[in-house]
Amino acid sequence: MGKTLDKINKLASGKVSTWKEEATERKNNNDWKKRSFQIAVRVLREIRNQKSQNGMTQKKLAEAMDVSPQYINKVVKGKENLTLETISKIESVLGIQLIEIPSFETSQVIPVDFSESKFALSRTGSVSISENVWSYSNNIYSDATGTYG
Amino acid sequence: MEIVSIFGKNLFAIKYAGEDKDEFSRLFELWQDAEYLEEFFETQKSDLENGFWGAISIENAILNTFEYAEEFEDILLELSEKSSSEQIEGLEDIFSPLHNSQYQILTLNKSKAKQTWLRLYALRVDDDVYIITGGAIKLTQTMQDRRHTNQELRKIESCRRFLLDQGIVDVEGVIEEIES
Repeated sequence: MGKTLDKINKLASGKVSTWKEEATERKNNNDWKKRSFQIAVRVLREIRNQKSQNGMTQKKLAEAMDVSPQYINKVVKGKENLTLETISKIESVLGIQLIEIPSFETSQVIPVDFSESKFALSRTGSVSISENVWSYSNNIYSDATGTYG
Repeated sequence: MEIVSIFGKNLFAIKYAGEDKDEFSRLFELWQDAEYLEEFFETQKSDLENGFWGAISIENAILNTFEYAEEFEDILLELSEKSSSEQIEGLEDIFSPLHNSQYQILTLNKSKAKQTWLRLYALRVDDDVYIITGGAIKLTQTMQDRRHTNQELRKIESCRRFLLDQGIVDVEGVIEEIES
């Protein structure tokens, strides 16, 4: 076993793969990379769909957006941290929607009963919950140190 | 053809002449490359429509592959941080042997949690050293069924000959990775 491993190590002669570095980078940027990948898939499928109708290609998309073909190639690989400006341009040229923002969403507020010592108020006015006694509403609550809601 | 270390003392990969990257690094990059996957699944469309894995749309196949690759990479990253003995155990869990030297395919575990089509192919050297020779997205039951998986068989064989030529005579057999 030792001899075989020695021979392999000799063949490898200290060369180490770049995989771990690349995998760590992918993991650290996992959230946005996943979204970038999803957008890339949508864009690629749309380019393919439109190709037979209007001859759409990555190059034509790049020209219409006034960016380089190399940049579009990075976009369609799902490796680009896209700006809203870029996303809007792609949407406009391809006539598709890539991201959607929910129209309205109310935040949930936890009513605080300061008469009981179940909550500790910090100097910044934030509330620490020491016991599970909440219910939800959209009301605004105030006390001497500030307004919550 | 070169050999490079992936991590620890027991996992290596082949870097083929003319390639920028070793096979391990190249495959994980490809499996998370939307452009490559879209082209690949478009050409393998018939295998997705009514194939070994059932009926899957191209879009879902691409997105699933990204997820599989991410999960697989996480397992391997975690393993790379462990002690040498834990790495050996982990690699033994991850890699399973093919039945014989005719490259007969293992019956894949079809339970849902293990459903995946990513493959890494390796040569096992002695008991606990693995050399990755390539990999594929395997959509058919056997590797001989499609050109891209058949090509992997040829790569494994050429690597085996290379190792024998280099005096590494203890190549025990061909391994097919099945994700646990």
